[in-house]
Amino acid sequence: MKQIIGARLHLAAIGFWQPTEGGNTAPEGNLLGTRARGRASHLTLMFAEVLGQALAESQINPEEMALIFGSALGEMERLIQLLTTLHGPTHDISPLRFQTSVHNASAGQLSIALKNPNFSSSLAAGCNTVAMGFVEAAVWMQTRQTPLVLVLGDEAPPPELHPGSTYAPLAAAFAFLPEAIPDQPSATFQIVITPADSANTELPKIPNNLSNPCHLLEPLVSWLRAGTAGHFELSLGGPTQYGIERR
Amino acid sequence: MHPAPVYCTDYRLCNALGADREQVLNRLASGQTGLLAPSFALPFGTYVGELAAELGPLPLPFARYDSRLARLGYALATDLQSSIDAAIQRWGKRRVALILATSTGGLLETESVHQGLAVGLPLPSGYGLLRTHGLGATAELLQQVLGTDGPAFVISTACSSSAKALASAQRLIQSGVADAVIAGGLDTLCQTTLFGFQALGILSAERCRPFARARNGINIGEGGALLLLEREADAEIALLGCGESSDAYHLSAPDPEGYGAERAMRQALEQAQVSPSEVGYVNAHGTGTPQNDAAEALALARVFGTGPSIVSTKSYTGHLLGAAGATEAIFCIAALEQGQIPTNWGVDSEDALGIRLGRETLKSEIRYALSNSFAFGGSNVSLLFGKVAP
Repeated sequence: MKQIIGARLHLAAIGFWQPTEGGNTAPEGNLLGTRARGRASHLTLMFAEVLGQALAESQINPEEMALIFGSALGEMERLIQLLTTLHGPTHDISPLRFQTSVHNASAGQLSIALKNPNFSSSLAAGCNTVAMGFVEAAVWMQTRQTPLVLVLGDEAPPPELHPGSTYAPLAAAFAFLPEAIPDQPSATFQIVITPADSANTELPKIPNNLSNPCHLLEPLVSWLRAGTAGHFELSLGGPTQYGIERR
Repeated sequence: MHPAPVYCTDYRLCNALGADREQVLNRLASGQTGLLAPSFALPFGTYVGELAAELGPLPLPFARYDSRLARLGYALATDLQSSIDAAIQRWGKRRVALILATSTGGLLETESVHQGLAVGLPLPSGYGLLRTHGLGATAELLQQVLGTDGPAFVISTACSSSAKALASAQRLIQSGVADAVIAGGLDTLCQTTLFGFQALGILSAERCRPFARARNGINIGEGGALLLLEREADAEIALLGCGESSDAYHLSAPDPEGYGAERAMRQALEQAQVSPSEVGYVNAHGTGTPQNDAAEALALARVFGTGPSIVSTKSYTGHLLGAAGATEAIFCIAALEQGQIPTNWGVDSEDALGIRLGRETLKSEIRYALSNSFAFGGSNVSLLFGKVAP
């Protein structure tokens, strides 16, 4: 039996970034000032880019929104830089790199850039990071009912810890409003859960090493932008299946 | 909106004070710190809160998730298993969620692997980026161990992580998505955090003394805490209010006026409909750095005046980072249950900061207790617990 999770979500805007062939390998992240951009990691620049797109399109006041970030691996680029220094001759870790290596570094930098004093969070759920991000967003909208932007993504894996294969970085942002958007019924959807079939109830699938843990974002953004009715499956494993349903 | 209480029906924790709940709470009550000189070599002086528990390997079916963090989570979760089984029996496995928190994940193992790679060793066959290092791995593991089918994820907002996990659990229950949530935090000592805080210049070479005039920095600890929260229960203590805010000020330094901290505390009180004068105990974030404690004291003084007893327990456990919020939430729950408030270790009568700093273990029947957790990125969380009528 299906169960509806949290509130209906009213999608006001989407931001999306991934590298394009032959160029655009660096997100601009203009929400951050010039100095902050220079200090930001690639993941933070990706998140700043998609959040900027979503805010520009949605007209949400950035000082009044809540922010939820999700990334399976977080600030891996920064972490590898730290470990390289740590295992070098001086152990002389950069304070800036340390403070921007935490999983919520993007949340901190973007709340500062946007002067946002409200709720922000940062979560991880392996290959279910996208699904759990939407669950947390739907629950937030039901219980707190403020504008919210959900920002999800992962960068490419560090080759030394993920040898033999790689995948492209990508990120997306979804801006939600507490009220339905006039004349845009296709902007409203809900998160549903269904018990997985018996073949899926033993152990969660270890995600495909060839895929970005957030790789669902690309087809999800296309599906949401197309505005068609139906079901989009968000789960990549685990005992319960999470999906988006739009009438 | 005044949300319904979320009942705390059981909990477990371990850290430098002890290997189980009884040891930890007894040593806290008797005022003994768990902070010691590290048992491993460091090129600088400090004290640490090393885990007072031996962690056995994971059972074979779960061995692919092996890390010190996973072993810690497994030990705590299996210790809590009978209560979790009862919750699954009562609510159904799909109605039981699992919201964990960590700031390090499997970073200890990644450090070792990276060091090996630097000297030409191969990547160990058991190492996986997502399942060993990934922050979400322990939630995935414990979901299998405990047999829950509800939402499962990890919150990682540095030192406020597990306080946020409890706030998220409250929302999951209040929204009707879950009827019970296993929530808490885990973190283990590793070089990156020790060297990182040393690089920031805030690691103390002595035992930390939060709120003391002579305070000069933090000590890092390791540990874990898991709580079982339920929609309805024959329980005495409930989570009544949560406040969450952002400083929007600086990545690693607090707003010196503590305005973000004040907003979080006032939100928690407002949500619970409890006045500041009704709160008997505040477990402060109280890291022991001059800046953090001064900012928090300003915020506490504006909200509470000199009313409740303000205590930082980081002088007993060290700063448990991603596990701090859940651990200190349990210290609040224990104070409510036992009618006993711990003392500030290392604080003397000359220390004031405009707040009422507890200087001795206090026998006091209190009805409400508040726990503060603040973090890098200006992330602030306050949790209000209280006794509820049976």
